Order: sequence, then structure tokens, then C-alpha cells
Amino acid sequence: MMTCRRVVELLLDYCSENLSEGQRAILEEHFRYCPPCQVYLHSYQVTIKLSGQLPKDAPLPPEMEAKLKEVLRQFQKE
Amino acid sequence: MSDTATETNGAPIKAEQVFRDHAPRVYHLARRILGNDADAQDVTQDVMLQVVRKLDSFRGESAFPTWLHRVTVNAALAHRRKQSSRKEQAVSDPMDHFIEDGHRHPVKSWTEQPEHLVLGQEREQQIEGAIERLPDDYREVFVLADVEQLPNAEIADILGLSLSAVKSRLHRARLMMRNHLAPYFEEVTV
Repeated sequence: MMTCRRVVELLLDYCSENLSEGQRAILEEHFRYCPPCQVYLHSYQVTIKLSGQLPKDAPLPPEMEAKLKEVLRQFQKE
Repeated sequence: MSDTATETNGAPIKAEQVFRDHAPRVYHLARRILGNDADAQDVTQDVMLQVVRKLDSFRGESAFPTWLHRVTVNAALAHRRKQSSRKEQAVSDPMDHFIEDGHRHPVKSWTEQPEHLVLGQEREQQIEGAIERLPDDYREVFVLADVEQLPNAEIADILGLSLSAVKSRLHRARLMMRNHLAPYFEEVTV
């Protein structure tokens, strides 16, 4: 019987589908009988999914924008 | 000095265009890797100046955004490493939440289903805050893997780490993120 600690140690490989079929089956069997690990897996997946949705090019803060305008002005004077 | 270069499709890239189109991406990437705004502003200014100074030597060897992304990551990492006054960060192991045969504390359900997730402004702030709280070595791996979606092998190459070290840090970073976010996402039980 795999322990909860060992199950959690394998979550990264489980979520990226890098486990052998045998290991995967053992984990899934554990999830069926261990509600805390089911919940933990769910929260781990939510964390990954939401982090991947963060915007990559949101607008600049005004202070940064002003500094960059100055950098561009200096560059164009060179 | 020339302030243009040629993109892979043959179109000229001008300095103003580079600032307008790419500075936000550079800034937010640097901010997430460094975990603070002041350092991110310094790195963004350095990177943008470095990039426009090299525009006339850029020959479109790779797509411009990919090249700029790599320049930004390297600049942010170099900035962090040269900060000699960095204090040592005590890192508690998220695996301490587990005892040999179970979870040390009750695990409460999260309200969200992964298949229906939408990132709103409030959640975005929670996640950005959790990223800032990660220790430096874990934050840089987490940002490159789970925010920037780079493959682990590429992250290992960028950071000079083994693949197993990247996976180990990423896993612990995810557990820390999960624990930081838990109070916000857990269902309220009456």
C-alpha cells in the first residue's frame, strides 16, 4: 500500500503523465480510497492551471512606462 | 546609430515598436522571476536598452520574441545573483505536511473545478502574491515552468541545473503555491 506522502511525491510525474502504467494504477487506486489525497490532487491541478493563465503582457505600471519613455529618448539621442 | 533591424518575415523592427510591443512582456517576466517591482524595473530598463542597441545586429536567427524572452530571463537571473546582500531564506519543506501514513492536517476541498477555471482579477492577485512569497530558487523554476510553460529540459539548461533538480524544485514550489493559495480557495465549512 502506497503512503499518502509517497503519493504526493509522485504528483508531478502523475500530472505530466510520466509514470509507468503500473505506478499510475497504484496511484489511482490510492485516490479511490483516500479522499484527502483526491482533494490534494485536485488543488495541485488547480494551482498549475490557474498559474498558466496569468497574463504575460498586461499593461505597464505608469511609473515603469515613464522610465522607459526616458530610456527610449536617451537612446534616440545617442 | 541605426534603430532598426529585420524580423524573420523581413519586416523592419524599430526601437519604438520594440518598446511598445515587448516592454510589458519583459517587465512582467522579470517581476515574476525577481519577486519585486524595483528590481524588475531596473532589469526592464537594462534589457530594453540592450535590445535596441543590438537591433542592427539582429539577423532574425530566431523569432524575435523568443530571443528577447531568453535575454530577459538571463538578465533577471544575473541581476538576482549579483545582489551580494541577499539574505539566506529559510525554506520549510512542504512535505512536512505529511506524516508517514497520512496528512498531518485535515485537507479541505477547493471550490473550483479545474475544467471550469477562469482567472479573474482577484484570483490573479492571489496567485501573483503567492509567487512573490516563494523562495528565490523555487520561484524562478515555478515561473519558467508553470507560468512561462517552458519544458523542464530547457529550464535545466537556463539555470544550469540537472533535470532531476528542476523537477524536485518545481514540485516543491507547486506544493508551496498550493499551500499559500489554500486559505483563499478552500470551501468554507459551517
